[in-house]
Amino acid sequence: MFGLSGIAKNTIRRAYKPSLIPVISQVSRSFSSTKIKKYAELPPTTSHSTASEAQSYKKIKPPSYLDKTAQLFFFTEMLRGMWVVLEQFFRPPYTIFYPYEKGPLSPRFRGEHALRRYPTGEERCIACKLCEAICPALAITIEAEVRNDGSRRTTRYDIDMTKCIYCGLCQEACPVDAIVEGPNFEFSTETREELLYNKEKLLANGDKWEPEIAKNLQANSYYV
Amino acid sequence: MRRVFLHSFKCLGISSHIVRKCFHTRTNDTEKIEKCQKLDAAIKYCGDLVRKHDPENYLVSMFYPKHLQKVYYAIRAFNLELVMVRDSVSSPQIGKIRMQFWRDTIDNVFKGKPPQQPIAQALFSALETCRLSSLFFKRVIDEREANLDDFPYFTAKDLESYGENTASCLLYLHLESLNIKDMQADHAASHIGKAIGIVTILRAFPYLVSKRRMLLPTELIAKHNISQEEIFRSGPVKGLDEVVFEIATLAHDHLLTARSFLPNIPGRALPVLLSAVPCDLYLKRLEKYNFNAFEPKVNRKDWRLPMQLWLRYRKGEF
Repeated sequence: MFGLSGIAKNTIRRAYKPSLIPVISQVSRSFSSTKIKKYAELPPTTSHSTASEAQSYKKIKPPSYLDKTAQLFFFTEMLRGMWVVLEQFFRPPYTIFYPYEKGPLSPRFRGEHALRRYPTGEERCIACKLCEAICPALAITIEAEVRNDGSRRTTRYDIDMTKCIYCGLCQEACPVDAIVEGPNFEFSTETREELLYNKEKLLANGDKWEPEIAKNLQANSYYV
Repeated sequence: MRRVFLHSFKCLGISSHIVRKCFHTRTNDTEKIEKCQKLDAAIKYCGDLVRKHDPENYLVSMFYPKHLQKVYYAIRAFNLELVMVRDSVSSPQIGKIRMQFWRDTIDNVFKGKPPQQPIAQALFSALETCRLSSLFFKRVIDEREANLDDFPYFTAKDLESYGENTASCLLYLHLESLNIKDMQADHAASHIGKAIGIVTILRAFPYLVSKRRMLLPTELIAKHNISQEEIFRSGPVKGLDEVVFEIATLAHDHLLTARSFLPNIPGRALPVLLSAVPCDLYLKRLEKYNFNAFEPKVNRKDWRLPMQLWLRYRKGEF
């Protein structure tokens, strides 16, 4: 009974607000013989309010004791609460069925790293080491050599994913768009060693995610 | 330690060279074929890049002689790479690193040691077919680097010099690739480049405003009593169309001046001058919508562009 009286108090407070008379309380009001008035007495007429406004205030009476007891005993708040639940029942759910269904991601999302290739299958990285230089967490290690055909390539490209802070600076510094942070965020592993990525792993990532990475990069570019 | 490594690399290089010489001549042929295939792939990459990000200039490439189109793609792709730096970088410092990379790349390409990057490779092969000067590449890089800081242009003159240093330089390179040494053509290219530069800034205006970047000349904006913040918050404010009108008039004047040179320019240079057509069509659309740069229909792609290009090419005008 104490809880209910709390609810009743709340209702009375709401009933005093001019615009917030709940729909269902109107039903209970039809059982009442007295007319409802929103304000106890005429509000002090200021210079702003016109005569017609004051007239409309006069007509409304505050809820009588009978109204209040009716609201209390007919559980109108309960009914209103149930109505809200019923409405939600027919709406689409806000939750998603996570592993099978995923929420939207920004094209700028910075997730797992990947090394990209050109459409010919040649790797993009030319071992300029700018990413290694700019990495604030010192997570990237590169070793390079000149191949037989005269091209400079990496022999070792390691990223320590436990050190990485996912700032995206490596992607920004790369002049050939080789290292990128792709849209993948599900790469948790059981052991720490699995998070020390080498070149093969990064290239494999690139092959796997290339369509999405290319799309995201294109979404970011604009000709000025 | 480093020296020792370098030395060992050198040794490796020499030894591999000797090994290669020892092989049958057939391997030489396969190497050549491989190189050709790589080059074709690089040129195709450049062409695809231009088609994807700069479709209007891709259409213009169709009017170049077949064997020089690859040069056109290489130059345009180079420009695109520089253009895209600003948006893929969060601070100007990182952008400068990238610009330095391109400066080194241009140096290496002209020294004959291009890095394994398709655009650099394509530019290197372009240098074999025609003579381009590195000065213009450098000027484009310098101007783009200066723009990384997003300083608004002070006067309309600054806006013109932006066009001169980016679009005009590219047009000079195209003229060089066609082997045209003509004062009048250079003059026309300079004016067209200025017009293209101004139109590029106008076209990008709604996008730049959405990113809180303001590149319209501050002098003009102050003259019309507009505050930048007001544009950022409420878009098309009163008086903005007058500023746009003034800038667009400037671009149109440059186009008209360029057209006045037309009778004295050799006909071979016409493909280069056709770059002015998209810019001309944009100015016409802007006029149609009362110089409201925020009107989405102004920035839409024009389906008549291919037809217009072809018609103007046939008539020998731009």
